[in-house]
Amino acid sequence: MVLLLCVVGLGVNPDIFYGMIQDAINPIIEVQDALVGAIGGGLR
Amino acid sequence: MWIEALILSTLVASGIVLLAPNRYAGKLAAALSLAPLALSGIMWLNYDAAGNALLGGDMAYETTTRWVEFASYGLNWHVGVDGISMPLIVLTTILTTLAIVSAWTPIDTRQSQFYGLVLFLQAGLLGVFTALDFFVWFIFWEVVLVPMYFLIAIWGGPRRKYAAIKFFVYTNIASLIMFVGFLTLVFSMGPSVRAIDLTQVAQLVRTPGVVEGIAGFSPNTVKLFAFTLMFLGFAVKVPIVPFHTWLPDAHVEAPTPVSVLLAGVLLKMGTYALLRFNFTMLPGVVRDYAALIAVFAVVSVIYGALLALAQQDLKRIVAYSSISSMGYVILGLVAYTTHGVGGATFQMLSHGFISGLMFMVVGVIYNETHTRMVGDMSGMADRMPWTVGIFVAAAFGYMGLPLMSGFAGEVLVFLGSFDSTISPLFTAVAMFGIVIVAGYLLWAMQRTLFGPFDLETEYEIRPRPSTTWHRWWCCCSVWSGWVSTLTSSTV
Repeated sequence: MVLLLCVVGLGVNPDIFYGMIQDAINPIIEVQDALVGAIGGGLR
Repeated sequence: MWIEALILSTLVASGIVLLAPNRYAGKLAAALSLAPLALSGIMWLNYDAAGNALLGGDMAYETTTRWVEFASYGLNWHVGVDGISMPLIVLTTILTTLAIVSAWTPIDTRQSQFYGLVLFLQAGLLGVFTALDFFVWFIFWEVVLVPMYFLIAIWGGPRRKYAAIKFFVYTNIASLIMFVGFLTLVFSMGPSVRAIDLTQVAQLVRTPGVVEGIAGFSPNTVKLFAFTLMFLGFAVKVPIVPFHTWLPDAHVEAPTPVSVLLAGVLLKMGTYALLRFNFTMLPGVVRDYAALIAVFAVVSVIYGALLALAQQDLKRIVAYSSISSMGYVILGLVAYTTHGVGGATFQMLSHGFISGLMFMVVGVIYNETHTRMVGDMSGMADRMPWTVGIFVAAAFGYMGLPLMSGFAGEVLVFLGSFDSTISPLFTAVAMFGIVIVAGYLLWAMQRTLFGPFDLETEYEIRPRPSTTWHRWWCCCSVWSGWVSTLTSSTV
């Protein structure tokens, strides 16, 4: 029952964890975006 | 000192339980596992970090102490938590406590050793998710293998020794390959690196010109070599097809509480490490080889689901489903968008809870019927309405129906991968995996749970009075899934 509550709880309100996950993920994505931008600039 | 308290409380609990008499070990382990569970809950409620731990973000509960100095390298006890590791710590403590409680019935020999090893395993897992110095991290990474080997080899099924050795050999060789890959990356940075701290390495690797060529190979070739070795090492742990063959054997032979931890947390070590090492440190290589990695992801999704479709053993079905679900995680990671990587991380958490739930339900059915074969039973809803209701709800979670965590994870992964630079064809093919998942889960449920009751074993299950509450619960599970299916098709 506890696990079922976790599954439904996360399904109904993913932001319980998704907010902090996104906060930690954004810097990784920015690195990639910067890299793609730099390569694009270099090619131009 | 919160992380130290978390790991130490688990280690102390492990030691106490190992010395306790067998008859009290289960209850004592459950009581002692509440300490790390409570600590992780408090840590989560007071969590105030921002950014990524490896990329200069603000970490929560960070500690750095010089530990050992040898040659020109220093080892630091460096631990900390960010938004990627915090959910996995909560997942680990919740699943461990529940796994211990679920072991009270099936584990009836050498209980103190069993529960002691489970708590020791938890300490290793918490270390993997919090360590930020490579050697500390690697020690915890290897420590996890030891209790898991014994848990399968001692308390497992008839082919337990084969499964345990296969698990150990596969994952240990993979660890060594990964170790060589990471050290190649470190040594390619020359004398500028004097610590093997993951935060320093991650930031230095990204600095242009720091990685130098080795033995005549260019810096880009060295990065690709390091990336490939680390990817192969972690791919075994995830597992990604074709490195998956140890997983079904380990799951089928392991006792149910161990399967819960294996699917729920141990597989997440692989995806967590891929995210921390390959995808954070070497984004350039990810960009160049995104299509190839996406192929691995999609093959895992479809091949894992097709293998599940061909199985008769309920545990094997859940095991192959895990391979398919982990494929979605890899697809989200390689998409390299906020929703893709965020969805992949969320999917790790979601899959941990759902697979844990599925294995527990299968374990309850096995305890009652002493069989897990789909063809050996039917109409279980008559005899076990509560268990069947939870089974149906967990299956809906696996199918990714709305109001279940699986839906959020999979939708985010699909949104992220459609929005990325990889071909939308990969996402489209991976989405087809959901249809196969629904196919085999509905087929297995139809055969085992519904229809007239029949059980082809020597064990009898007493009919239990079906109350209004039971009927309401079953109807509610089925109805919510049906409505959710309509809603999702409309969306």
